[in-house]
Amino acid sequence: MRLTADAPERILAAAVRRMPAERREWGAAMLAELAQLQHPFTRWRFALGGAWVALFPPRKKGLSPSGGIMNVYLRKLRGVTGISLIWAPVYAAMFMVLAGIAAIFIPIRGDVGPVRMLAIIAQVGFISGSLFGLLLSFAENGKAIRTLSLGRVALWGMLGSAVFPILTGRADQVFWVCPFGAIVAMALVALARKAALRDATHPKQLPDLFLACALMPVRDAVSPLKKSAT
Amino acid sequence: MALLALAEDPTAWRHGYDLCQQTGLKAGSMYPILIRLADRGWLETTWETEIPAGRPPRHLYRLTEAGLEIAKEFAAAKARAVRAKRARLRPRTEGA
Repeated sequence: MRLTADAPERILAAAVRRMPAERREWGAAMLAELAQLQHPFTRWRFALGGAWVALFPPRKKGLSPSGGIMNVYLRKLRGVTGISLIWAPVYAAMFMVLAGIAAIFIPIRGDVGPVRMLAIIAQVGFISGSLFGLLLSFAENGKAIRTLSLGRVALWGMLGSAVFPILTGRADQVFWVCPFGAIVAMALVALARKAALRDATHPKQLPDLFLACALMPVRDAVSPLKKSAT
Repeated sequence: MALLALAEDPTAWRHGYDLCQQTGLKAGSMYPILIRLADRGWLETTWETEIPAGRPPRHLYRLTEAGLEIAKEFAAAKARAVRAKRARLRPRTEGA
C-alpha cells in the first residue's frame, strides 16, 4: 500500500482529470489498476499508457468518418515526438565527446558555459529529430521496419539536420550537423530493426528496454496512414 | 486478442492489467479496446464489491452474450484465415 502518490500515479491522475465526464469511470479504473502494481518499471509503463488513453480517449459514439485516420496521425505524432526526445540527448552526448576530443588538440574558448552549450545542442538535436521523424514518417509511410533502407534513412537524417542551421543563418554548421544526423538516424533505425527481429516490444531486461525505446517511435512514425488502429 | 482472451472463460470477471499481461498489449492499447467493446454492448463492466483495505476497488470485465457471439465469429474467421494461408503456402513449400 502506498501512502503518498508517486510520479506515475500523479501523471495518470492529472491525465484522468482531463477526461470527459462520460469516460471518467475508465480513468478511475486505470488508477485502481495502477494501485495494484508494485514494480517501478511496470508502474511507469502502465501509467504512461493510461495517460495516453486519458488524454485521447475513444469517441463516445463510434468513430467519425475521419476518426480512424486521426488515430493514425496521432500515432505518427507520438513516433515523431519519441524520435525527437531520443535525438536531443544523443546529440548532446555526441557533441560532448567530440568537443572533448577536439579540446585535446585545440584550446576551445567560448563565452557560453558547457551546460548552456549542451542545452543548445540538445535543442538542435530535438528540432533535427523532429524534422527527421517527419521525413521518415511520410517518405517511408507504411513500410515494415525490417525493409527500411539505411541509405535512405541516412539521407533523411542529413536533410532533417541541415534544415535548422540553414533556416537560422548558420549554414557553416551544416558540415558537422549533417554527419551527426546521418549517424544518429542510421543508429536509431538499425537498433529498431534489431528490436523488431527480437520482438522486443515487451522488454523484461535492460538491453531489450533500450531496443524497445528505439523500436516504438520508429514503428509509430512509419505506421501506415490507411486505416484505423482499432 | 482482447476478445479471445475474454472469451477463454466467459463467466469469469477479469481485471484490465491481467488482460494486458495475457495478451501482451500495453494499457494504451488495451483500454481503448475495452472502452469500444463496452460502447458496442459487447463488454459488461462492474466494480469490485469485496475490497481489501488500503486499495481502491478494481474495475472488472466480462463479455456479454453478444460479445461472446462476436468472439466466436472472430475466432472462426481467424481459423479460416490461418487455414487459407497454410493452403497458399503449401504448394510453394512442396515446390522448394
